[in-house]
Amino acid sequence: MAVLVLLLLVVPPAIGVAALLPGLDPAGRAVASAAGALVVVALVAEIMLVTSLWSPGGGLAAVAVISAVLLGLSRIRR
Amino acid sequence: MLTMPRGPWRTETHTTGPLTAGTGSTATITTARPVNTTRRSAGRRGARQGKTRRPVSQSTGVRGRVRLDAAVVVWAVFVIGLALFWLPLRGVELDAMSGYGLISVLPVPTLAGAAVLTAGFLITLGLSRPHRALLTVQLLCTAVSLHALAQALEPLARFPTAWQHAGFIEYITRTHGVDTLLDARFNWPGFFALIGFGTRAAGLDDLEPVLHWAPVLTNLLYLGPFALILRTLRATWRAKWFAAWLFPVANWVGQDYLSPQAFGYLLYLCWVAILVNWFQPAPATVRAEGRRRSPGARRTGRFWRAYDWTFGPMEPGELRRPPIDTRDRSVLFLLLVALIVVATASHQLTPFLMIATAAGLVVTRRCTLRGLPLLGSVIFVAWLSFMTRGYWAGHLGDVFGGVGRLGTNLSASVGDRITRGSPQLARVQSARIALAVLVSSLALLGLLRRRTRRTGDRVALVLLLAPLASFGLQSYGGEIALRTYFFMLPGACVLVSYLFFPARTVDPALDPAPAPDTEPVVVQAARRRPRRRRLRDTVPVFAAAVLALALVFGFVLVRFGNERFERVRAGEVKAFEVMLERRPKGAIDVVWLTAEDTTASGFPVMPWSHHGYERFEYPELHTARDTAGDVEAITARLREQGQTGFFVTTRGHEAYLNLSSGLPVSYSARLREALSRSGDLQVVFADRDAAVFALRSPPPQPDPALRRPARLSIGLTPWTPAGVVYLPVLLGVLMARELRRLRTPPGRRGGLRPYTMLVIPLLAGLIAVIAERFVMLN
Repeated sequence: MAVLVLLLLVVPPAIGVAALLPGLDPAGRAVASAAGALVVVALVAEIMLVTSLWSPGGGLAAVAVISAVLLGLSRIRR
Repeated sequence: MLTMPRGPWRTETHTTGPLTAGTGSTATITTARPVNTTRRSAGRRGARQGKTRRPVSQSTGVRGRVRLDAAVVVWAVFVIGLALFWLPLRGVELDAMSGYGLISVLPVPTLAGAAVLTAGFLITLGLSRPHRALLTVQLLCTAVSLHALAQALEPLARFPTAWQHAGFIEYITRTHGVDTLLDARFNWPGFFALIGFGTRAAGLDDLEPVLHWAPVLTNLLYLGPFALILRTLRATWRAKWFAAWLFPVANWVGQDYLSPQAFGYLLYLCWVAILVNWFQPAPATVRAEGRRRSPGARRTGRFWRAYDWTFGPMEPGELRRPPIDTRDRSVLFLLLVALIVVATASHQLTPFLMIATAAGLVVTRRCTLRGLPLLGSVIFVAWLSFMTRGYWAGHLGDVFGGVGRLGTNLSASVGDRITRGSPQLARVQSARIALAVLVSSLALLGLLRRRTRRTGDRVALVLLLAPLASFGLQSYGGEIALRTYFFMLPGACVLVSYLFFPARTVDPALDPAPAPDTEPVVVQAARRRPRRRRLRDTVPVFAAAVLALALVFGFVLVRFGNERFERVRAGEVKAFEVMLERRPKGAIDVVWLTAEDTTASGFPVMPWSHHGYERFEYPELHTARDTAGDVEAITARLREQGQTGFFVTTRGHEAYLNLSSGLPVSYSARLREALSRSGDLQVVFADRDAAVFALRSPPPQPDPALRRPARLSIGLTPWTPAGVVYLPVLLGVLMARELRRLRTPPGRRGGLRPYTMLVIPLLAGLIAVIAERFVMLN
């Protein structure tokens, strides 16, 4: 269960970043989007902490929204 | 044993296509290369290769079978090595460990298994072509075997400092904030917030499994971006795979536990990988470099020979990746900015090294984002000024004089000073220094060897040398040498590998024809290669094997060389839980014994504060080296503390006192015995691993109130509001400037001028505000 939630946390932003980088080769794209996912989750956590809005559930929702926005941006680009 | 390549040029296996060394999509060019090349350099080289291509492409039948057999043999060697390494570990008696650490209790077959695993990898490197699956599996299994050795043997997560980090994470998830005065590391809470968020979202209450396996996971994660770095190098597949193998093996530093620095290092590798993969200048600019005069003019004399050797024409040591879309590069640039923001919020040293490396790449013309170092510096300094006020306010002199204190806490044991307490531990510590010196000096030799072949490895050189800049920044409590070695590793591994496999590859798809005046150099270098090919191929593999074995055994010795006090035992964790149970509320003062000068690191070697971080204080007590005197001193100190006081001793800490301070092995047992016999004290908790004592009747004192947490706040001064406005505008302009640069074709710079004109006043304003804040808030 925990692993599933963690995947749910990391995979959507990774897909979002990967969608924004269509011109990269597969290996490069994988590493760049993994780094992007890590950065998105870390920024959400950091902002929650600094702004005293700590809420893991809210953070999950924020990550989901950001992933959707990234995917939307890639659609617009195309 | 091996099938050695036959035809000329066979082993100069040229890599082609989207070559990825670490990930393994390296292909031999022997069949892929077009015969009819239109390159200007086709003449001599093409003729040679044409001559030699035939035997290779016809290598079917007996040759093919022999090669297959060799691979099967290596698979078998690998499985035997793995079994030898892991199977005998069942019966290991950890308690029998000597001052040499884990290696002293490892069964001989395990060590033999490590040697067999190493030999297997090197044999694979000796084969005529890269067996990617075999290489990948061997690389991953070696990394896991070495880094999971103690983790697999010990029931609890090792390394006391990791437990303190668990305490930070627990504090954040419990109080939903930080206390910047509690620990300096709370001023850079990004990583703790990330893990707190992740584990909470996943519903993980117990952090122990995360602590336990973090070192293995981080080492595997490092290989991804490192492979991306490797694939941009102009080198043979052997060089790349050996460098990839060296990376986890030479990383015995032990900074890979659940910690901001381990996370920062991952970000650093991603940062470098993105820069070298997608932001290297076009080959035309690269080619034009290194020539100071016309090829005809020759200067003689020793000086000019050295000058020409150093600065003369040289092939770049990097390949250029296929160009990508400007929009992809813009997204990657924004990702770079996000990476440094996250790194800045997570760790104090990493962003500095990111900036130094980017600056080095810009200076050596291997990075087109010339404004990135400035952008990174603004983010770094702004965080320091606005977000870490709790850390520097009031003692700016100490902070910038020698920022040692927080680093020494981190290094519960990985000190680089030689102890006088135990000759065994001293030998382990000397071995650490020797290994670091060995790797660094071999890296320099590798660089020289490539230079004699007229290859300028600028990226590797920058990766090797940029971390040295950190010496100027912080003292990190004597730990900076270790950190520098850690950050030098990517460059060092590549260059050490070049010492054994120095040949460069020429990639027909990505590598344009060299200018006519560089060609003689290339041909000249080619002519210098020895003729006896078999020998030429075998000797480097054997030499590399000798180094590899030395590094593997060195790793097993030094990585877990402090295991007697870096191991965390169940009773030690329990001791802290018992204190929390006994005092559910209020402060807890843990009195502990030391035999050292504790000005640098005033904390015991225990898994302290993994829960209720803010409630613990650690008043230390210098040992009298006499049990009666110590019992008296402990009782007196506990009386001072009143009902908050506990005396704690653990086996890890006792081992540290023995190994580092030379307190006799039996001393701790005698002290425990004397303490339990004392009429004033009662045993709160005692088992083999730890003991907790408190006063039977503590003096009635009011319970001291806990300090209110100091949350992150930027701190107001008259100019701060201006800074709060300048900063985002400046960052926006700097980012727009770089995005503009990405859209500007090389050679045309005019479009950047308006941005530069905006940057100058904003930057001056921000510098003034930051200076004012340092003065006013200090």
